[in-house]
Amino acid sequence: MKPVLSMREVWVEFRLATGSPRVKKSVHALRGVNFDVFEREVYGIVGASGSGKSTLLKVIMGFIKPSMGTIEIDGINLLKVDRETRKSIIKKIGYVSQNPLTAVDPRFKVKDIIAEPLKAAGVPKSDIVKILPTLIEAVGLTPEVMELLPYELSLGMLQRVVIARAIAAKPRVLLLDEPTSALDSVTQSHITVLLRELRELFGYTSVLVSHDLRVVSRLADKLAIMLAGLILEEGLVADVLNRPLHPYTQALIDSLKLKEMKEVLVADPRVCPYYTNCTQRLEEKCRVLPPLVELSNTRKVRCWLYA
Amino acid sequence: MVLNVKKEFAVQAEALSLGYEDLGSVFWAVRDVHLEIEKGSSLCIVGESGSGKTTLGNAIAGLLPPYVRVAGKLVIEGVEVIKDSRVIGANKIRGRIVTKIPQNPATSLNPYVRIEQMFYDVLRDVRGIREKRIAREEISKLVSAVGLEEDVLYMYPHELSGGMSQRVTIALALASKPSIIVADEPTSNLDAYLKGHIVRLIRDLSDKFGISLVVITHDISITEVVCKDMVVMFLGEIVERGHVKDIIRAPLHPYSSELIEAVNLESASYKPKKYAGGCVYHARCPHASNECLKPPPLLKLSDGREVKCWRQAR
Repeated sequence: MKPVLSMREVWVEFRLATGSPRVKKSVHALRGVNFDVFEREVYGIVGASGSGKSTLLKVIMGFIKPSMGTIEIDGINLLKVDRETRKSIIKKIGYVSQNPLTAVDPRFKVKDIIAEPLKAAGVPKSDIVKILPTLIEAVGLTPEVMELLPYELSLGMLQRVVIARAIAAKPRVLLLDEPTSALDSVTQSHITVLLRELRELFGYTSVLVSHDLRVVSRLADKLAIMLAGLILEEGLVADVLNRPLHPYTQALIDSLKLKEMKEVLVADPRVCPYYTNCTQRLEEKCRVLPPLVELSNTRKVRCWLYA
Repeated sequence: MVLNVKKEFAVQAEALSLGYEDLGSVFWAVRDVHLEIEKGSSLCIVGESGSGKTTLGNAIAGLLPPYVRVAGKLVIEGVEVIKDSRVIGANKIRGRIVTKIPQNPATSLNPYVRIEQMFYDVLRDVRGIREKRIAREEISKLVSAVGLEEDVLYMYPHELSGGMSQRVTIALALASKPSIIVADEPTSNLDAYLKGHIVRLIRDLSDKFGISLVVITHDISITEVVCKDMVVMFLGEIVERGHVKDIIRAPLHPYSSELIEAVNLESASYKPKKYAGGCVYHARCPHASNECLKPPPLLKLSDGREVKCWRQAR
């Protein structure tokens, strides 16, 4: 089986402002990320702020240019093709961003917001009018909202509109960037349930990024744990949650019970990113960055304890 | 002779209503709230966006905007803040008796000023400490209390991570030696892993300095860690009140149960909320009946538990 989306050795480097043109400093947001997403699969990525998970989605969308690597959608390398082909492929990606308020044009009515990707896909106007009510209903809104402007909706309703827009043109891949983290806990729960229902209805292929392990465990099939631009552990959701291998994964699961957890500060890119906080570290060995070891078909872990 | 122990209250609100003028009519964001917080205790105000919890928190912190409409009475640490439909004493408590830990630390720190200068400003303006040496000692104590290194003092806000800047705002709140701290969604801008850490820090510090604590949150899961008591608000009204443990173990109001379900991401009953008289939760309640078209009374049960629901009134 061929993957729908696959990333190979993707590196992203950001220049830092140093105040002087002679002093050059940079930080690597992604350091050689590899993964595959297969048809009708939801691939969840969990990590704390600053681990590079949003960068990953922005790289797929083409908002950020990686310094190295390949990104393939249906076998076509997005970084090697010409502008026109890339544009036509990007059109087939649905994107839900973190904050719905900044994701919509404040001058557009709800119906125009949702119709945009349909227009871009070349769907005739008469068909768009037919499709819109079913989409609105699918995301749990009433047809009256179609005539409203974004400021007249609550954040939760607006996030539903953004989701409707993302799935409108039946995207090949749906990218969900923290779809619930700007919302309050009740609305978070509503949106999570909605995304699960939509999956039964439309069966999307998706990459879901969140810092909230609860949301990802509800929606994803596979789970990857990221820290400092590296994937530390990958596996089926049930496996990772029930038998976490990496000490960092264990700490994340404990943090759901509001146990104490210290901020992970990554200083040296050459050592294991979890070095300073790890309770099981091997003094000598862990000063070197461990490789991502494949334990079985579905399970990978980046830790010297398993290498 | 019976010793007459008089309870001292940090916050006392009687029939407090707070509203904003909206096209001629007044929209009441908080309606008829009775609230008493004992000195040195902690209270969580829980509810979703739009339930009026931030407005209530701002009233306690003396941060109401000038165009607000008020009714009822609010007394904070013996200072009358709201009386006879007028705000009369907000400037006496703001920043001195009550300080607020903001929701978004990144936007509440002045980007042009080093962290150290912020502390000097607070110590000089609020506590009148002008001598740099004394101020510096005080700052060192505050910074180490929240678990930060002294290097932070020489940084600008943009150089700090979310967790670090939230710690700075906590230290700044403590710098003015307040009697009450209002923490407005202290964790909602932090990722899930720092949540536990920050709420514990706020609780421990307020215990240590004997500060009364008001925590406003939409996340019922953190209430167990910080607070002893809790009020649940919906559309401007308090629908349930009691000890955190009691409410989480056996919620009486259907909205409290919805909030608890939401933590496990199981609540799915999405219905828009609108207030049309009667019970505030009527439009969304799974148990709604014709009785709910009349406003339910606030039932006082044993052990400080109060609930506003017709099902419990029967």
